Amino acid sequence: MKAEPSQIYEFSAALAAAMAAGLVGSFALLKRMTLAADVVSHLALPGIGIALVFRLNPALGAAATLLVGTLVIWGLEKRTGIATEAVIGVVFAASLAAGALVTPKAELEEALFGQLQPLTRMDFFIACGAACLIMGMLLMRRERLILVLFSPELAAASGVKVDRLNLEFLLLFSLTILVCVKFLGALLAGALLMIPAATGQKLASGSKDFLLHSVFASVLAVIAGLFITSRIGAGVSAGPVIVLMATAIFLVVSFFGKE
Amino acid sequence: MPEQNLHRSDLQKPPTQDDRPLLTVLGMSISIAGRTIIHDANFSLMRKTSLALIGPNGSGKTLLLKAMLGLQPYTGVIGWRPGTRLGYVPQHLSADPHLPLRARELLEAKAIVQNQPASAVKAVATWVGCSDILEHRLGALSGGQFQLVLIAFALIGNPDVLLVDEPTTSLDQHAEQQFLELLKRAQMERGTTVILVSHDLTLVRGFASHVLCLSAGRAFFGRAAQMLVPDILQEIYRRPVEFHLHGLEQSA
Repeated sequence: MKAEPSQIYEFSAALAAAMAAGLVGSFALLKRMTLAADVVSHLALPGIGIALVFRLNPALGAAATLLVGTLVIWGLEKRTGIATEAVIGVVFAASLAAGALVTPKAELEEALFGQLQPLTRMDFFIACGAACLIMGMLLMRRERLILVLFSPELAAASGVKVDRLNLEFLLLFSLTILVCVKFLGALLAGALLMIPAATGQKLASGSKDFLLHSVFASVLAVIAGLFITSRIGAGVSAGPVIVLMATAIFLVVSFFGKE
Repeated sequence: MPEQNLHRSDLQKPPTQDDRPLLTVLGMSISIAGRTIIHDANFSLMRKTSLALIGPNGSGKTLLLKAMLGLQPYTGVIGWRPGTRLGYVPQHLSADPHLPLRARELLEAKAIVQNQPASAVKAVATWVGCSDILEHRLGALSGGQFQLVLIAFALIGNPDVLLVDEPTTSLDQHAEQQFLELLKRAQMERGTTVILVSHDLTLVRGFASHVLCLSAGRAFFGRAAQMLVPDILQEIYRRPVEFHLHGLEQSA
């Protein structure tokens, strides 16, 4: 059976998103942003809902609320003495509730689990362009991020502008979520950043192996997820299948991988 | 008259590079949450000297070191001679055992950030004596090995000054000795000025040419030989000194 152009676009864009997610997720895991990843992905939901109500492109709505959320999280990160985890917990619940309330019922499931509309050629170019931008910007900042992960104080003493780098990373992180939301939905987008990175960490001894293994685990989960979804047929969202595949890979590596 | 003119021009001649202090601290104060920790500190330091910051817990030694590095807000002046490069060895840093980062990757990251050639890592690791552990994960290193990597990290970029915070608290005697010898070699072979925070007066006496003692918000500066005598220490601390005085001839 010959694949439709939209399927080829979807498959290629999903692979590009998977690579970006594996790379960004690796750094996010080491920055202990597991909770933040879920919150940021949930922040997309109210944006998608509002955009659907006003018949705008859902990606635009998601981008707007993601940007606001990112700036809020960055502001919190800079301050000390605030129970960040408590605030993140509140934002997490509030954005899910607000999103569920404003998103039209017919589209709620797709907003939560992915695949709002078939991918157009323009969507494909935007997703691939964004993924390349994310990977390029991140690799250019790799050494500075390594220093900040090791010790923010030593990084600052070595001439790294730590606050600015954290903001740049959060913006790249949110852009990755935005790219992944299209395929995985607002509930599960964060999972593709975190689970393959956790797999990569189990396998790696150095930072280069870690990044490569995370990207590989992410791409493998997306290929397996899309393949299985296409076999099962219509009515099944790809998002949950991809996330379950990522989880299966993580479990296999945890049981059979090295310590 | 030629002789007078010569004399005048000599007086007006700007100091040569080595005549100017490497570090000048003027009217410097540090406050945390409205409480003054250091008040009106004044001192200066020449090149190739070694300064020890001593004082009771909470007197602001680490804060002062961080202020010198630009990591801690302060009022007043902390002025380094233009172009001075700083290296920092922090206190109580430990690597997350799960961090997938090799020693070599950490050192290379700093070399790249500071626009140093790739060969800088190998050269510094050889000089420090940690070439054999470069491929180890940071979390798998012993305390002494980790400290060597931190010194190598600080020395990348060829700093003029090494600022070292409590270098020996978590080390065994052998590792402590190795660490101090490295600092002395840095002074002798690389001309590095060393500023270190320490509780250990024996170490300070054997190492530092100058001492800055912080106590109750005040800063006392002088040559080590003049400062590290029981009468002066008791006057500064206003109580019997509770430092490690083993090795000093008298205790205060």
